[in-house]
Amino acid sequence: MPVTIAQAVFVLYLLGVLLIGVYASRFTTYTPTDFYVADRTVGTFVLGLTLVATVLSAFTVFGIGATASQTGLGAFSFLAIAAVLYTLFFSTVGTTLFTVSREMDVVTPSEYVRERYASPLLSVLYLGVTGIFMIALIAGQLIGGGVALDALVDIPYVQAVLAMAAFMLVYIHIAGYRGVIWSDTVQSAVLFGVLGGVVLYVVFVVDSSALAEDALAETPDLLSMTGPIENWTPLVVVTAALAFAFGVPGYPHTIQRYFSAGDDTVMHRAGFLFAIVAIPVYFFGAVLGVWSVGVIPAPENPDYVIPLLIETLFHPVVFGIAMAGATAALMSTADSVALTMSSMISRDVYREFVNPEATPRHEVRVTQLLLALVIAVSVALALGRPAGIFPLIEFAVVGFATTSAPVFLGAYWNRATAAGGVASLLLGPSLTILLFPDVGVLPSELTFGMHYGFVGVLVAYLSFILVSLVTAPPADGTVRAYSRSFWQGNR
Amino acid sequence: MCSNQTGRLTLPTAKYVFLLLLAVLLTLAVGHLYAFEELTALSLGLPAWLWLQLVVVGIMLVVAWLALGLVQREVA
Repeated sequence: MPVTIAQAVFVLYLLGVLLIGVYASRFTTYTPTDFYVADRTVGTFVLGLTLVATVLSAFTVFGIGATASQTGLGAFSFLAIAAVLYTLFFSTVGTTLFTVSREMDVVTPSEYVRERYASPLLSVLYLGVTGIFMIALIAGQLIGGGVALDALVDIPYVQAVLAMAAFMLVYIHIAGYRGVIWSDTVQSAVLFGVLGGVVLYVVFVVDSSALAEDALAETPDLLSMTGPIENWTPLVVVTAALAFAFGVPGYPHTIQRYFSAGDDTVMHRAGFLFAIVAIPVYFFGAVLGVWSVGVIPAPENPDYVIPLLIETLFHPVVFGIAMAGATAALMSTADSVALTMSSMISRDVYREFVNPEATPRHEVRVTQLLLALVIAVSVALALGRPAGIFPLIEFAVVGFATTSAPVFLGAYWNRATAAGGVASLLLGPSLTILLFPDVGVLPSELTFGMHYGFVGVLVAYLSFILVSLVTAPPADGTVRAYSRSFWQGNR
Repeated sequence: MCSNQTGRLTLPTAKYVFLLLLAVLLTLAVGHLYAFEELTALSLGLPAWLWLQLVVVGIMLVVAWLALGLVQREVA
């Protein structure tokens, strides 16, 4: 069967990413600090773009388009507000965690939790609970990519999922964090360029006004603020933004990026660079989603509306590049999560409990082995396809939000306790899972009109605070070493 | 005194200004969703409220930058 242009471009892109990994491996030393956080040498530009690539995922190319085409531009409203809130977290908690990690030689989020609370149990619980959402996030990316490549590029779903997983495994294995962030930098640029270029083409060549009129003829009120089904009420928009604001900066793989900054100024500026790049990308995805209704009013799968729009309007080479950009977005998230999860299991379970005498090189070897296991489990889940892309990733994001209290509050509050952390990690995520619409154990009426993830965040943080207030904190020296005063910053 | 001899904000003042800026940020975030809801006229295929929202988001970023400058700088 002859290879199509889109397939050829896709394969060339994967090879390009692999070559970046090979090049990065020349600079990689197989010590935990280098393999997990590039020896804490990352500059503003790379850190900002790896934050973009890590946060923007299959959700950006497929999920936003699907959501916007069905429910309107409110999807952009909450994401844009959330992105501004992310910068607050990046520049405060992110900078504090950078400082603590450098002074106390912390390289994984679960290590921070263990040391901050002097509690190996809390560390393992944190790892276990975030692990659920990390696997869901990786699987969501693989599902997004596999489904798209199958439908749009005629690469069968199973082969597409396995190919993406295999490429990720190779370049992470050989180059670790440095390979991930260098490929992330390229992938962010590709995603921004492709989506931005398509929007400009639609505006100035195709006539976006005509597309909008056609879309409105198909779906009245599509371009209203609340959307055609009026689900994007101000309350939903703001609470969704707040839920994501606690989730995204609290991703374990985002936290590990804080540890990799070259200095605190880098962390602060990278946070704003993130918003400057990510907000336009969200905008591009949302407007292409609504405009697609004027071109493809009844797609077989709404997750494909943006790629289908590009395929309809552009030459196959451009479509191939767009699909490569979409694959870039999801692989750049999946690889970050896989590396972080493997590093946490290796350092904070294997080295802590199984082999405390493990050398740094041995610890990295175990991480490399665990990478294969983590990716294999995610592939298995992806092949089972338990949910759609947007719901699965949304579940993971808000799930992470409910695990952030031990880290965010632990960074600043000297009364934070391990018992508070345990309560938070059990109650918040559990409630979120039970409220998750695709699970549907608890009725949505219990959210009182708020985003279900925000309700989980409220419970997580309230339980953390209440239980901490009635339990004993760690020794004062431990607290001072692993937390800072918010107002004294990090100097 | 709101500022010390070097002209920098004292800690209590910095806290109040920071919280004020956060309040401005959240007011912008919530307020514009109500204020612009009826602005549905299209320009380049997109509603006026969306273009205005981009402006508001830009202003929010500036406010966030100012607020975070108060946290990062040394205070008396």
